[in-house]
Amino acid sequence: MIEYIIAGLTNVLNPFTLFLMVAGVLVGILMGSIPGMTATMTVAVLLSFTFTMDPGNGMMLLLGIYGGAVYSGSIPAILIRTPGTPSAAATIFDGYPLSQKGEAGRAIRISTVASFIGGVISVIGLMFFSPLIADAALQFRSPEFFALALFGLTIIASVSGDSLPKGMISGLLGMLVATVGIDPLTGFQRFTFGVPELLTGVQFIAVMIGLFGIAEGMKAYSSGIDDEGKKVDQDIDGILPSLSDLKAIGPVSTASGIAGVLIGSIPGAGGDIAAFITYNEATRWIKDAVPSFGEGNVRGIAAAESGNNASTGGALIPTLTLGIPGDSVSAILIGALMVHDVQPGPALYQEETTLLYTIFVGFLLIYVLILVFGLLGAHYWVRLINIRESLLWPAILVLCVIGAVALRGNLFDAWVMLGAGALGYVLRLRGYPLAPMVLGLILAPIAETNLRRSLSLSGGSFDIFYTSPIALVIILLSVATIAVPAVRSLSSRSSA
Amino acid sequence: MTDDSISASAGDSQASTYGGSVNRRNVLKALGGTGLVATAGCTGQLSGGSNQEWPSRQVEVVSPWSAGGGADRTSRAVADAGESNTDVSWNVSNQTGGSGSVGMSAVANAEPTGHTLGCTAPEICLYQHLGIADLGPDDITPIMQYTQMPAAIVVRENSDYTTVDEFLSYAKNNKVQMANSGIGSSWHMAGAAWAYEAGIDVQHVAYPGAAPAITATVNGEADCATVGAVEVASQVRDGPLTALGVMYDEQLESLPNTPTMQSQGIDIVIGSWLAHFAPPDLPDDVKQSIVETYNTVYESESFKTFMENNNFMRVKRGPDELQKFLDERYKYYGQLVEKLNIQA
Repeated sequence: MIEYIIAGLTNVLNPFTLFLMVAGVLVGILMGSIPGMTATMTVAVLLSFTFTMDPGNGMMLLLGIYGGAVYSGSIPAILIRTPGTPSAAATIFDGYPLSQKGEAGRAIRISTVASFIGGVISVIGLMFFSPLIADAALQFRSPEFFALALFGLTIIASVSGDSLPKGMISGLLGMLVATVGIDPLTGFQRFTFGVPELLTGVQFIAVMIGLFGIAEGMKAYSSGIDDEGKKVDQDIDGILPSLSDLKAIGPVSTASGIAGVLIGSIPGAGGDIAAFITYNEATRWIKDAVPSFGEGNVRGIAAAESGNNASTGGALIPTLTLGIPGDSVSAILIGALMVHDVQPGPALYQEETTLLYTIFVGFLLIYVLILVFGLLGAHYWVRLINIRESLLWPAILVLCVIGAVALRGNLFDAWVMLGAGALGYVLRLRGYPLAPMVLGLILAPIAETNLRRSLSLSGGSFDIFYTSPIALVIILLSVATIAVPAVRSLSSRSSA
Repeated sequence: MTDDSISASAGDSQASTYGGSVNRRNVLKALGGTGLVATAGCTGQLSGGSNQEWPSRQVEVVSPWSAGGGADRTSRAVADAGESNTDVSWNVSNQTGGSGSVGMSAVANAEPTGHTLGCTAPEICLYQHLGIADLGPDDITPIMQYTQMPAAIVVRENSDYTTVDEFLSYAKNNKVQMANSGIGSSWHMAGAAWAYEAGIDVQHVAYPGAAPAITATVNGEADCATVGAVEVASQVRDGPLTALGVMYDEQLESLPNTPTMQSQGIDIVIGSWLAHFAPPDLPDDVKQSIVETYNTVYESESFKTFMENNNFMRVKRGPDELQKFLDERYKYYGQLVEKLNIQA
């Protein structure tokens, strides 16, 4: 393993790769600081820049954006009570009260250090545990992969926000779109209408660019872009957090980091869920909080920020070992790798070890960069919130079209992207979450081919699913994932 | 970064064509893959003039599969060598989709000036039989085949059958599950052809690519897999696989302990290959110039080194030979698809 780490380090430590990491982190911090610009959107829109890079370099740029945006989402959460990315929503609880007391600088420094701790824990977890999981997954056959994809699909229940039915409709739409193309098992053409571009199916990256770029842009424009509303004038001084603050947040950051990795590694559960859970757990475990949680406790910020950044490395665990995305950003990362003919899954750990360790070492370095830039630049980053959105959106919309066309040199994909954008806009207007659609799009083919392959291997008998202990356990977990919230809502209704 | 330099040069030449400013050139360079797209769109419009001279401007080679795969990497090696042997720049673009038919159709429908060339593979002999696209060997001008990828049947190392004879006697009494890297792919066809020649009945199981097909063979979900022999050489030498035999007419150097299928009594030579082609109706003098350049490219040291370092066999078929080969394969695959009753 040491030799792989050294090989990864040599790959990372060259000027162009370092430049890409710095660029990624800075772009990520910039976009994350602006409410409405999410990590998912930024990664989707800038993906096309990586098509001509080698896969390792491309991943450095995208992971830099990912880590940077998930970190900097906390800055507007602290300053103007609006999370820059959904993952930073839990940071508001204690971040904004501190800012009101005039201690925004202290809150941002805490958030930076906690993000760093969470991020580093997650990358270490990724580096040491993912090879073990990949090794075990080599024994996975079609029934196990079907069960995993089914589990991922049931997570829609948890990512769908307020309304489970709306989440499921969105997820089913994604699954429907995924059926277009040549049937992977019989070669029959489905919904291709004689269009050759559709034979290999709808390009899911084009759909994601549309959903997260165009749809968000249309929503921003239709609700009116307000460049004046959110001025920040609080000055941030100082660079390093105080020793007493560091001592206070050390244990809670570490614990939240570990929890964040575990939550992030559940397919479909991303930084927002991780941060809410780690924040909630911190308030349950820490009884002696002064000031109490919700009134500006630094440990509250640390719990949320360590949790959401820890979910980034955690999300990469199922993504790289099983090819099943941990969250919506890692879904795009799968696409980024597939553009280079690199198929995430257990075989990756046998064939592409250098690439993997480049990713691990690079992601670690990215968190170091986030710590350095986050502490040194805090008084600049707060000004980013004042950037006029009216200047950013046109650029994003142009990048959406460029990204879709560059995907495989075909204008057709731009129309797919625009269509997805229009659909996403309508869905957003009616309060349908878009993340389940992405999960459906990516998991449906995995679920379908493995289900049908299992049945063809077993001669049509469903025994194959419950005679495999691993598949059985995962299927039972999936059932529980759906049943528990349903039972809970029924019982709360009857008691009310 | 070789990939980037090629596409960046596409951006460069385009900006200078229009007398673009330094600023614009940088933008195009920065857009990388995007520059390719713009160039691809322009080639058609620029070809109005006379076409006696080849090459008179940039040559574009279309890889119908994605960056990083065999077709893409070898096409880039050909383009690199082509650029050093001509006065113009050579640029590779990836136009993927439709099992490769989208990119190949784009070339087949391009102006026949020789400035748009494409990469092709056995799939071009399959599209019409599988109903994927109305594109066949008659719709292109073959230039040169430059590599061959013989198929091999692999099983897991500790299985009960490690020779063709053992495998066949097992298959006579059991339903054998044969993994392939995709329905209707050249590897699926090779496996089916082999089973037919060997006189056994197998169940074909499709996986999304060679890696999952091999994983399924190693963990026991499938009994065997049909894959590219050279691609799995290292996994056979010191890994979890045993190769039963190679479907080729010569002993492979990379698999010194694996005999050919022919030497084990199954007379079959099949697999995949890669070739470059031009649009139909290419003027004869242009075709002659292209073929001469390709001969130089094929013999160039840089191309030889690339092929050797990346484990591609150098196997050549010139235009006439390739045309005959394509026609013969087209008929062969037609019969095979009928026998297998693959629907598409």
